[in-house]
Order: sequence, then structure tokens, then C-alpha cells
Amino acid sequence: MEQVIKSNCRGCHGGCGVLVHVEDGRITKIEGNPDFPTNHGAMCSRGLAFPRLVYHPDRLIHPMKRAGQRGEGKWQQISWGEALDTIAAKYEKIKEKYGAEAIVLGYGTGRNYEGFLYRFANLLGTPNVLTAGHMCYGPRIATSGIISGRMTLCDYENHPKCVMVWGNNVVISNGDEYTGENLSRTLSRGAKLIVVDPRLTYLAGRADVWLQLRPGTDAALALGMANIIVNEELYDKKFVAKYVHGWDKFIERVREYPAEKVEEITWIPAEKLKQAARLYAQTKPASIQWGCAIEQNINCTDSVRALVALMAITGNLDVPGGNVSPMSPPWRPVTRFAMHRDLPAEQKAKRLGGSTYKLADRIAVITPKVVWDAILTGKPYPVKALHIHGSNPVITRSNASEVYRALSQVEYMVVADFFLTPTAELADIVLPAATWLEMEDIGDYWKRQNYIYPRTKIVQVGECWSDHQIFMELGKRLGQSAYWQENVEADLDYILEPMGLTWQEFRRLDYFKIGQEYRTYTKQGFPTPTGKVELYSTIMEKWGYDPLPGYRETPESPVSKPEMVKEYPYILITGARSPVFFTSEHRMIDWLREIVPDPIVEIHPEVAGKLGISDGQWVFIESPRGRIKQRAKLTIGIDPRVVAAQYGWWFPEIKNPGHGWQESNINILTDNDPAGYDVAMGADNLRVLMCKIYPAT
Amino acid sequence: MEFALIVNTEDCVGCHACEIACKQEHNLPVGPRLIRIYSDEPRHINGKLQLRYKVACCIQCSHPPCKDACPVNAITRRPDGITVIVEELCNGCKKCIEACPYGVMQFDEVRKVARKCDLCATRLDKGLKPACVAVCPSHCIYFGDRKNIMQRLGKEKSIIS
Repeated sequence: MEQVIKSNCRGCHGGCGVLVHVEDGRITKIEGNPDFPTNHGAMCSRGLAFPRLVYHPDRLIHPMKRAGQRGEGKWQQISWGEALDTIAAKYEKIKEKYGAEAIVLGYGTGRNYEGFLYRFANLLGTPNVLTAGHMCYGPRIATSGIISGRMTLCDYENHPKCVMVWGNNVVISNGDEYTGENLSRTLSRGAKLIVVDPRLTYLAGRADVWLQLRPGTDAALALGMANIIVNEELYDKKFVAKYVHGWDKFIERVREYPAEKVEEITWIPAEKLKQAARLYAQTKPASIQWGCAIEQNINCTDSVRALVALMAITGNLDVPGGNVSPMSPPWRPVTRFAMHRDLPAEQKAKRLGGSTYKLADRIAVITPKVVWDAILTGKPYPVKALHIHGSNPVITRSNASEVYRALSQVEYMVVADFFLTPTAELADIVLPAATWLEMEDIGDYWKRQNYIYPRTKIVQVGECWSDHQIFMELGKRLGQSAYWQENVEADLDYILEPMGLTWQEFRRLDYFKIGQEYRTYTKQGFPTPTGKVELYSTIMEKWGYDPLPGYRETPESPVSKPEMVKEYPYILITGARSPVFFTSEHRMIDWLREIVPDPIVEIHPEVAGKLGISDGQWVFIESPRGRIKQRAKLTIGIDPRVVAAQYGWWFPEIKNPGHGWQESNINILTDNDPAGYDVAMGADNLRVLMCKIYPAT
Repeated sequence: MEFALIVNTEDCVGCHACEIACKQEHNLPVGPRLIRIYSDEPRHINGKLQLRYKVACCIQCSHPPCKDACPVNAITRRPDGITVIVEELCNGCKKCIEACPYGVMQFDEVRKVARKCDLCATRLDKGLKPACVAVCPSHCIYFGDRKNIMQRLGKEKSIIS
């Protein structure tokens, strides 16, 4: 007997309406829901292949404790009761001896349990939550927050006439809060397209103007555009006069970035830059579709600020078809549920790196190196336990060798995941996490888009629990009983309560659409200290940072370190997305791996010819930190001075507990020296390195 | 009326969702790919360097060489133009694979039979679109009466909005 159940995929960040086919209690198929407003039936390969993950033979389905040396790969199955009792007892002891700050919570990309994890952490009293938020999406949220008051999204429902895609490959990645299908629809309606990307992507090829910039120079490029828009008076004068703070100082700063100088920095011909600036400024409404490429380098907050400035001065902020701030549903918001305000001030003050990276501190995230340092050196205080959900830092954080060392040496580590990743293999206890098909969940609690929707529990696999349930049950063992309801459903009722809905009522909805208002600033101004868009940031000024966006050269580049060019002649970029994998996941899914079996590094054919590299050959890519192997793909879609490698690679099919974490892992090559960080966010430089490349066979 | 499936490769973003939707619909193991996306070499089109994808899929020939090559008459062409393999009859000899001029006939090593695109005939019978058409995020796979498709391709914008 086949059943078809409506739900919402969370294979990546989530958001696509799906129809889940179930036969005799087993999921047989997932397809897009044609009536769902965010994806109109469209799906990506990862979401469609998801049943292969749910029922994968290597899936973690029971709690297990380490039965040999750390990282030896020997495990013993235990009960949930034993697992949680053991963890709780350990955390009690650590808290008593070293303080709650010695326990660091962690998660990977946004997966909707942020609110539950932070609630647990804040109640435990630790200010240290290690996420990807310092260098992925967090900077856009935090920086928009202090400049214009709110994060903005492309308003595809109101049909932008021009989209500027900046450091993003949304049609295959569906990153952050977006599904690429909406951009496809917008382009089909004839919208103009500007793409900023060092690689020829499908979108770059289709663009009216493709700006193939030198990697890491986004901030200079954006300021160069602002310069043209100001000089040619293409800005929205009424908006600027009434709603912008610091216009004169901003103009002074952008005057430092004339097109000719920007050409020198970015490699973008001045004429092309002018063409793009005019197209963006003169087509209304226009929207900027930005990606994490702008964040993962030294100019992280500068780039975000400069792009928010472009949105604002062209009058595209908070207008239909521009960049808008979606309204929140009238529920208990995630920040409130997370109980950030209940973290005692003296504990908050102990946040690792908090006084250095003040913008990160404002959104309660930390940069990873402070944790590795605390584990390895005991400074500024020892970190004794890591509690990680859905994150694989051995593969996804910069300077993987240091990460591996820290994870091998930390006194106690708990990992909740779907599989025994190279990170989970280093744990003392692993917990089997439920997928989105195995839990009751309000999608997407952490997001800021215009729709919310239920995910219902369709199957139970092994003894897997939702992350929500894990935090709730562990919390109850650590004296948090008064703050968690009796079960997950009751917690969801609590979240929905202000909407006048229970979970049982909500779960029957296909989705709930939140109304959108535009130009709210005309009534109440912008939610910033001055009530205006702060192109000159009073908050950054107060913190002692440059109040205006600027451009700094990456410490390791052919410009700042010309002496390195002889040994490491190429600029290595590391962000190229694969259409079939999400970050470090999915390498064990046979249907997906069939499509992309090996990691790929793109090289210009001229360079490859000079180096004796042929198409498809395994090559070594080497930086001052180490070397890895990927397969060469020759393409004229990349500048000869640049090579583009893929990230996130490990090999689940290698059965020893390292699973080949050193073989092709791009983070063996990246550096986590704070000299390369964004000063306010602690965003590390994952994207711009110097390298050499040579045949491996 | 004869059904056909045509891909407007100008709009294909190379996401491979169609391949997985097809795998799922036809319960295929690793190996056979009844629709397959290949990355094309970047080339200049209309004065711009562009990246396009090639899509390989059965074109439902009017006179299918696969059908002619089959020694056990396991391949038939339905009145609606869909060429299908009757799995129970297939002896796994792979003659059809040799005969296909487009190289799209596939072999299923698990079931030891040939596999091909049947335009999701079982979905069509339920009034649904082929799986690949339904999931395509760039709406570049066109399906319907062969005669009408080229016309529809020209009016693409009105179809999507």
C-alpha cells in the first residue's frame, strides 16, 4: 500500500517542498511538490537521492562508545540511557572543575537545530558555540544587521529585472535560503544578469556581464562600482538624502577606488566594470544574489558592507524585486528560544575570541582556531570537551592538520551524525542522528524566508534521534528540566503558541505564508543606531574598527608576497561547488558518486601544457602547509594564473578510521593564521592561497 | 499523437537532478543512466565564452534500430511513439546497445537486462510528467506531442510564467 506524504526536504539547508512515497513503512521515492511555492516541484540531485542516505548500510543507527584507542575505529554499541548518563556525568565534572566554558558546542551548516543547541549551551553556561557562522552566512547576517538593521534576500517573487550574482552558484548549490529554480524563472522572464566569479560557471557564461575577478578582491570591485555609481550620479538621491548615514565620508572612501585602480587590483577592465555598475544601477528593480565566497577571506565584512551600500544607494533595499528583509512569523523566535539573554554576563565575557572579533561575538559565534589553541595550549583557558552535531571540522575547517591534532588531543568528544566521518571517528561517544524524514520539525526555524512549513516523522531508522531530542534529553540530565517540555512535540507547541497554533494543527498545513511589507523604513526608519543605513557604521566605529568598508590585500598573494611566486606561482581558489554533494557530505551515496567520482581541480590548458598535465590526470596541489591530490580538468573557463580545486573531500569507501582525510582535503592546504582573518568576524581565509601544481603519476 | 522529450540545452544548468529522478523512478543501480548530462567544453557563443551541457537521452526514433536489432522481440514501439523494453523478454544480449546510433541504450548489470528511457510510461498513464521533466530546476526539458514541442520551445517564456 503506497502512501504519499507531503514534507519539506532538508538535505541541504532545507526549503523545497517534497512528496515522500512510502510503501510498507519504507521510503521508496522522493519527488518535488509541484504545488510548493519555493521550488515549484524542482529538486536537486541530493534531495532526490536522500533515501539512499536514510537506508545506507554504513548509517549510524545506535549510540556507540569508543572501545579502543581514540581514532582506532573500535566501537561498542550502548543504550541511549548509558550514552546520555555518561556524557552528562562527564560534563558535570568538567563544568565543576574548569567551568562550563571548557565545554564547546558545535554544529556545521544551518540545519534547523540551532535554537535547540544554543538553548542547551546557554543553559549549560558555555559561551562557546563553534559553527560555520564566522565565515558562512553569519557575516552577511551580522554585517547587514549593523549596517541596515536586517539581513536581506532577493525578492524573486516580485521579479527583479536585474540580478547580480556575486560569488555564488545558486542554480546548482541552492545555498543559504535560496533555491536556484527561482533564479531560473527570473532569467526566463528576461532579467539582466551580472555574474562576479573567477570561474566560468553556467551563470557566468549566460551573464550579460561576467566579471572574472582576481580571487579575493571582491571588496575593491564593489567599491569600484560604488565609485562609478556616485561619479555618474546613478544613485537614488532621495533615498540617500533621507535614509543614509555618513554619505560624505562614504563618498570620500569610494573616491579611493577609481575604475583604473580597481582594474589593477581586480583584473577587471575599467570599461567592463563601468558597464556592470551602470547595468545594476539603472535597471530597476535589481537584486544582489550573494554567496559565501565574499565571506571566506580577509575582506569579509568589507565586502558585505560595500554590497549593502550598493543595494541601498541604488534604491533597491526593501523594495519589491530588490533585496528585502522578510518578516518573521508571529511565533517564539529562534533567538528567544535559544535563550541568549539568559547566558550570564560573566560567562558571555569568557567567549573565546569574543573581545577580538566583536561582530562575531554579537551573533554568538566564534572562530575555530581559538578552540584548537585552547585545547592544544590551555590558553586562555583549557577546553576539555567538544560536543559536535552534524559537522566534520577535520574536512571543513582551515588548517586540517591542526584541527586533527586538536580533536585527537581534546579530553572528551561527543559527535552526533549520520555516519562515522573522519571527525566522528575521533569521538569518545557517537550518537545516531535522525534525518529530516525521521523527526517532527518546524521548517525552517532558523531562516528568514517568507514561508514556514512542517516536517513530520515518516519513518524510524534504528535508534536514531533528532538533534532536538538529544539536546532536550541531555539537558534534562544536566539540571535543565524546567526549560524543556516533556517531549519534542510539546516544545514545538511552545514555539508555535503565539501563533495560536498547536503542532498537531500546524503539521496538517502544507505551508504558512508570512506577509511581506515593503519600504517599512518610510514609517519607522532602519533599525540601526541612527535609524538610517549606516554606510559609515557607528557600531564598527565604537568597536574600534574602520567605520567604512575598504580593501586589504590577502597576506598570502602574489601582490603581498611576490617572493613566494617563484615557488608557488598560482592562486588557488577552493570554493567550487559540486552539483551532487553538499559540503563534505554525500560521498557515500552511490548514485551521486557515480556522477562525480573524484575531486576535481580546474587548470587552464596553457598552464597544464607547460606543466605536463593532461586532462583527467591526478595531480598534486601543494601549498606551504602541505599537499593533496585531485584530478585535473583542463578548461579555458579559468584564468591561467588561477587554479580552482574542490573542497569537502574524504573517502567513506576507505575503511580505515581516517577515511583518507589527508588525501584530497583542501583544508590541508588552507591556513588559519589570524593575520588572514577579517578583523571583526574572525572569518578565516579559505579561498585565496598560493600553490604549485604538478603531476602525481 | 507521438510523445517526445526535447532538452533546451541553452537553459540546462548541469545540476544532474534529472539523472537522479530517473534512477529513482526506474529503480536503477549504479551504471545505467537513461538520461545523462555531460559538461561541454567552454566555447564562444554570440561573442561570449559560455559553458553548456550536453544531454544524452533516447530520442524515441520513429524507426528504432534497437528494436530491429533485438533477436527476441523484447523491444516494441507503442502507438504513442514510446519505444519500450519488455524486461521479461530481454535476454541481455546487448545487441540493442551496439545498434543504438546515439549510444543511449544502457545495460543493467544487476538485472542483466537492457534499459532505456520509456518517457516514464507508468507516470504518463497516471497523468504525470516524466520524472526528469518534473524536477528540472531550469525547466529546460520539454515533453509532449513531438509536433508541438518545437513550437513550445519558441514560446518558452510563456510556458514558464
